[in-house]
Amino acid sequence: MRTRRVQRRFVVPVAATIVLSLAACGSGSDGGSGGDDASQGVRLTMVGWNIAAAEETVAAFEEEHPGVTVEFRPYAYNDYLQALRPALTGSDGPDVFQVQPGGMLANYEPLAVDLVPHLEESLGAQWRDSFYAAGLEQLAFDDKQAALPGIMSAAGLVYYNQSVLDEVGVEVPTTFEAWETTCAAVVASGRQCLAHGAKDAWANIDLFLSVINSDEPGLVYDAIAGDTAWDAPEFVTAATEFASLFQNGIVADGAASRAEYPDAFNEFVGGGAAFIALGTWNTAGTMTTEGLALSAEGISGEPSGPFYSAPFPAPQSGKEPTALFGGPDNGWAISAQSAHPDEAYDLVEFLTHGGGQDVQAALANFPANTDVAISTGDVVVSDQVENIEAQQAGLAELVGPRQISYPDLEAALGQALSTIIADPGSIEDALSEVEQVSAGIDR
Amino acid sequence: MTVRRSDRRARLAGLLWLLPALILVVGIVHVGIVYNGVISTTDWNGIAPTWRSIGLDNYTAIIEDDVFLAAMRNTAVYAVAVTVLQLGAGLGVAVLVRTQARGRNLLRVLIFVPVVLSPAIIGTTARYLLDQEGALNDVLRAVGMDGLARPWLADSTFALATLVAITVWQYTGYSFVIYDAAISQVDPATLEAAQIDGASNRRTFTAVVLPNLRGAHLVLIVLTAISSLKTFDLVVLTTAGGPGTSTELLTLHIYEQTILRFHAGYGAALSLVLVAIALVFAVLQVRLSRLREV
Repeated sequence: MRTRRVQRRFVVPVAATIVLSLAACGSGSDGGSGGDDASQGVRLTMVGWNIAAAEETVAAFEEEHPGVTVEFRPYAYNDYLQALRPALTGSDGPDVFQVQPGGMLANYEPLAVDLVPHLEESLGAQWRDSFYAAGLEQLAFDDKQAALPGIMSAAGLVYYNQSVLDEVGVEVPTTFEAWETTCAAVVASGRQCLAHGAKDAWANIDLFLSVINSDEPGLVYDAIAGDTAWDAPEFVTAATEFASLFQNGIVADGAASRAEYPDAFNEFVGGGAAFIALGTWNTAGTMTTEGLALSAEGISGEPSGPFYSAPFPAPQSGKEPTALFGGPDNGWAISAQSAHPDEAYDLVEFLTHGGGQDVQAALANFPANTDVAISTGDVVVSDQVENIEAQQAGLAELVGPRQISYPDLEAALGQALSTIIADPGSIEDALSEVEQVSAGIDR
Repeated sequence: MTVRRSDRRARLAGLLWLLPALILVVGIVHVGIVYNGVISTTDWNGIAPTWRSIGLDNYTAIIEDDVFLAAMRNTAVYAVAVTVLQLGAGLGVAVLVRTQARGRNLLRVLIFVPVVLSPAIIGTTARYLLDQEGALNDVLRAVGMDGLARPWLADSTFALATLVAITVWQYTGYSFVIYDAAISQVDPATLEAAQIDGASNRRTFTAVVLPNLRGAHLVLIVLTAISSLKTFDLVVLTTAGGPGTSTELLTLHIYEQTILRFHAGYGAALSLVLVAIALVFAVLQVRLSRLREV
């Protein structure tokens, strides 16, 4: 009896230890991505944070490619950044993954296969003709096409609420000077003028690029490339004009604690603001019946509108407003560890060139395939069609990208703009810090 | 001999019982910290299969990192302010519910409710309530204090103080519970004796109750300080570190460097700085606990 008790005293903890150790050591994996067997065909895994109508897209692909099934795992953007690293470097990662041009692509590009051989084989030597040039360029590294664009998008626009402008009795401004006058009238009606979420660095950077791309078109891209100093007089002027938006009643007080989504966007859609400075990705959610209904889920009551877009007003009278700047909103890449690169390419081609583009176009997202026209059949009011077509035409004449390829530089610019909003007297110091970071980048 | 063998068996059995916990703690926590230490001496971007060893360069860079210095300053101010205010408020409420005040049971419930709310809810709600057009400013304007109305989280002068206020509001219930339990352990005979000796309420509180709460103070100071060092979600959801760097905390800086800027090596070095600071508090707790036992 005693012996048994003693045995139990030893056996239980030892067994617990072994179980724990095995649990810790076992991967629980069935051997990697894209598992398949003879009866089920090929199974692909696809991850991303931003694809409209994912289920519909996957179903259309599976119908077109019998024997291939796709599991799509959606993430929130911040979660995606954290989840993608271990996923792509582990043995159970996705076959196809979504990337953003700029710093994200720069870091994940080594984990993606070169799509050029697939493209040449599938679409022929002239494969480039099927895509917007910016869509390909911003997802390429030297001669390697690391990803293909899912949809295109560009900023440099200001969306406005026509019913608010009509009620207040003002026109869409084309210069900052006119905008101030317009905003005085809008604010007097109890609304915000330009809804803006200055808590988000990307929203401030879009605003700043809109300013400097009007003042000195393209100069900012020289600075990103390290060929122009960030504290040059043109940048000081642009930063001063950027700061003036927050001082002259165009952006409402308190923007620094508001997010672009949902705070500013909901304010705009709900009729609480006359303008919002977003890009073409905003079109579906404001100008189509289905998209607007989805946007309205974030507000109480009915959405306001109708909404239209116009060029972001020029800071300096006599200068043209900025041209659109942007490129691929996101792209699709194939993991270098995929066990089924051919099937994965079929999926990527479907998403970026084939039937997936039709799905996006039908939702009023701007296709990356130049042969696919955006659908305007679901617009809220008919005269929005012309507005949307002008946006699509603008995508072929972009002044430059939205994203900055160097995460440190992007972060430094975001930090500087936040500092400038809080303390407009710090413009030169803030830009000097951006220049300091820029000078230290190994390009 | 039999006794000795039995002792050895007992000791061995004890060690074996300890083993699972030891494997978990060492295997997960301590190995993780050591691995972090190794990464902190590399230029790893967090993705690439390889990295280059750069010695202590990341630590040298920390000293020259202005955002890190701002984050350290903000974190220290935040941790001290939260600890002092949260303990003070918790103790105050704990004393209050021990009186015969009306509604004290309701107070117990109300004070603890925010503790169980998710920081995601608190952060999002705070952003609306404390906006320029938010409810707090509406109240201030309604009572004629228009001059005080401001965008609390968007004003670089007030943003950090506002974060402190939100945290104190949420977690005072936690301090209260600990103090309430500690006060209930004070021997009623001691209190009675003090009153018989003619001690006033204030004197009874300062000379009898407070010294008996030393253990509670100690635990709360250490836990609140460490919890303040780890604050992340509230800042991300309300200010994202701005305006400027006025609310940039150490955890946020680590996240930005590691995830958004792809500097896993540098982020690991920053994390170790945070671990070192937390370790100081942990050691302090252990030391002071031993002193108390003596």
